[in-house]
Amino acid sequence: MRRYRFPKLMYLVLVLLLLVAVGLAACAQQPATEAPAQEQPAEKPAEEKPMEEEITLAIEHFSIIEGTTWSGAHDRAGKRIAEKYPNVSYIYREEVGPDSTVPFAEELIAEGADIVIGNAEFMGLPLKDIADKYPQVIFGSVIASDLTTKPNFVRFFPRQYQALYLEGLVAAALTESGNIGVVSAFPSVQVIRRQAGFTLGVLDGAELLNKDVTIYVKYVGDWYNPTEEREIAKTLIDQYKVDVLTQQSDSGSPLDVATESGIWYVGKDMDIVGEYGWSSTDTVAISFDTRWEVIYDRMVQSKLEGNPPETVMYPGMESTFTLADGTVETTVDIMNDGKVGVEAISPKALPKIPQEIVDLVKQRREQMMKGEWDPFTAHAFISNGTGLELEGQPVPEKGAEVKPAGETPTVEWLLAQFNFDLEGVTILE
Amino acid sequence: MLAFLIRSLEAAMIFTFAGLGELVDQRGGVLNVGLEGIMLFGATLGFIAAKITGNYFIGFMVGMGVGALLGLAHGFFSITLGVDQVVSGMGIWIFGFGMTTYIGNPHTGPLGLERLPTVFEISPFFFLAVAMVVVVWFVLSKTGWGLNVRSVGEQPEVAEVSGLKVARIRYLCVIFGGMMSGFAGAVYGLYYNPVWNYNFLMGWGFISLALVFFSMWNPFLLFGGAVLFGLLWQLSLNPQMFFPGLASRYIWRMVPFIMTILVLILISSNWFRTRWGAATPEALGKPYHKE
Repeated sequence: MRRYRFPKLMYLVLVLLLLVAVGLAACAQQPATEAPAQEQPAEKPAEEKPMEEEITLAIEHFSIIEGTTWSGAHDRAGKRIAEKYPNVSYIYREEVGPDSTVPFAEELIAEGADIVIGNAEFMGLPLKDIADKYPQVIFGSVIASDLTTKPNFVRFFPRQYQALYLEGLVAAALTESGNIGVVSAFPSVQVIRRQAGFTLGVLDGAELLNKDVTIYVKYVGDWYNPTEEREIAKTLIDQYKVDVLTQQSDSGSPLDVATESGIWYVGKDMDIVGEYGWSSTDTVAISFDTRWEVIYDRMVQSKLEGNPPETVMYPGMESTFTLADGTVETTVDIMNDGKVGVEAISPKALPKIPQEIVDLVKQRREQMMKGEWDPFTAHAFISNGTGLELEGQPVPEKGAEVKPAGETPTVEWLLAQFNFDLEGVTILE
Repeated sequence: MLAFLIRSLEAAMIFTFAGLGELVDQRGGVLNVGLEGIMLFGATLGFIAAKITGNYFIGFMVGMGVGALLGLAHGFFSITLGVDQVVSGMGIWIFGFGMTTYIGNPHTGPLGLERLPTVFEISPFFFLAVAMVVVVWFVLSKTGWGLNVRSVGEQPEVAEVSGLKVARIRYLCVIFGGMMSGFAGAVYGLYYNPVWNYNFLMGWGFISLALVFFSMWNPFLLFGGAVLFGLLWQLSLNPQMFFPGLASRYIWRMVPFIMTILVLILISSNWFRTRWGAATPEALGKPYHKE
């Protein structure tokens, strides 16, 4: 009689599978963020520039477009540019990994692309390797922490921290428990910088209202891990009594937990209520929107004018783009349910927010739109003693003043060297 | 603390559903490493169905149905065609990962239905999981059906000679296994984390697979392991609650897999085979060809 034994080889295969699972558990997804745009009252008609040359803008998206906040916003930007300029067309590729960035780019160039963008640093950086081969093409990549440039390899990011500062003011006003939670990805320059904007807003709001507010940050270890994001959101609510929740990670789970728990949620990157209808203003107190078209427009203009592009672009609320229908939009702006500015504050949340905070949101927004005020210039940077150790740049000791109030940090420092949390946050294990 | 325990049990119930299906699969001699893919399908299609119809029941039925179909597909490849079971299972996993991303993307975001109620703050699915453990144990250990399943998983030639239809029994096992995995996915997508995102399981199917080996094919041990894995999962998120400063949460996260690897090493040892040799279904992973 034949006897069957579970072969040893099979055990080996299973052990390997388990190791894969360990990897899955420990590995991560990539970037995240950004948002769709929206409508402000039409103020001026679209500027129709006479443009003879045909331009093709190509975007390589690291993820799929549909239903995503990051690539969805980049895609919307490409469409808005093409809609505005009859002689500009927009083409794209989805789910581009770092190994396929260059092959896809060359394919897009063969299709006529004059501008090729990688919408995340991990897959956009390889474009610099072919920048010299195609000097007539402008290449561009989002910045996460690297600032490598070439004359035709542009690095860019929007000053989202400005909108996050305004959100922080609202969050400080809304918390009753005095505890605000952040479900965050992992310590990186981009995450730290964004959290710093939010933190300064909360601290200013708390000071104005004479409230004691604690910001709890708990890292997922990944930009995208829906299950853990959910669990961390629940932990923040159950154990740390958080009643205002925000996130610097990518899945919709924290929003769902906030809805389920009946607490306030502060959005990021896009107007998820107005754009996707993922929730309502009963939960989303405020959110913000990012308009990448402000940046892409600069590249298109430099191409049309035959001028070399700026190699580092870091526009904020002072920079605008006029849509084809004449709507003027800033690079970033607070936005919720299709409304911008203080109108974006949830109608249900608004009565709970003292007038002085509403006035301050309005005032700071206007000042930032005029380029007269910036939270990172106005405030001192006091280290919390936590953050990300960079090569040759340890995390400053707790309490150390890294930058005095009134001094404007350089673009390079903000984009590549901001490596510490600001005093006022509690980083949870 | 109570919240910690409740959330541990919610994770445990999902591991239990998927693990029980795989356990029956394996007791019948068929290994299905594609649990993750089937769970992704069950979660995604169940989520879409519930979202479109606004009906949870339809969502769960769709989840179970698609799981059963994928189990049937695995059966066709591994039983009828006799292909390598690991390869077939891996194919289902990869297919599930890609296809559910494609199908589900337009539905990214929260489910938008009112949450299902709890019983004393505990998920009703937890009680269902406990009941299923007892039922599976009873059927496998105390009934003729269970004996037939175990027979084809141990010595299919003998079972065939005794008049059992090995292929048919194995088909029923893989369909049941697929159905349970699909249901586990649906519970995840409709109850535990009702927000669709691509690849949202992030390895829970593999945890369930590991659990079957950890349990040494015993439903009660499987349930105990599920609760243990659920606790470890929660601990990996909040290690400071019990062991502040002891180890990074990323180390804790790997503990269930490390424990399973140790169990695999243990049960493949000669000592274990001599002492507890009956634990592993003898014909597990081997295609059976009628002679």
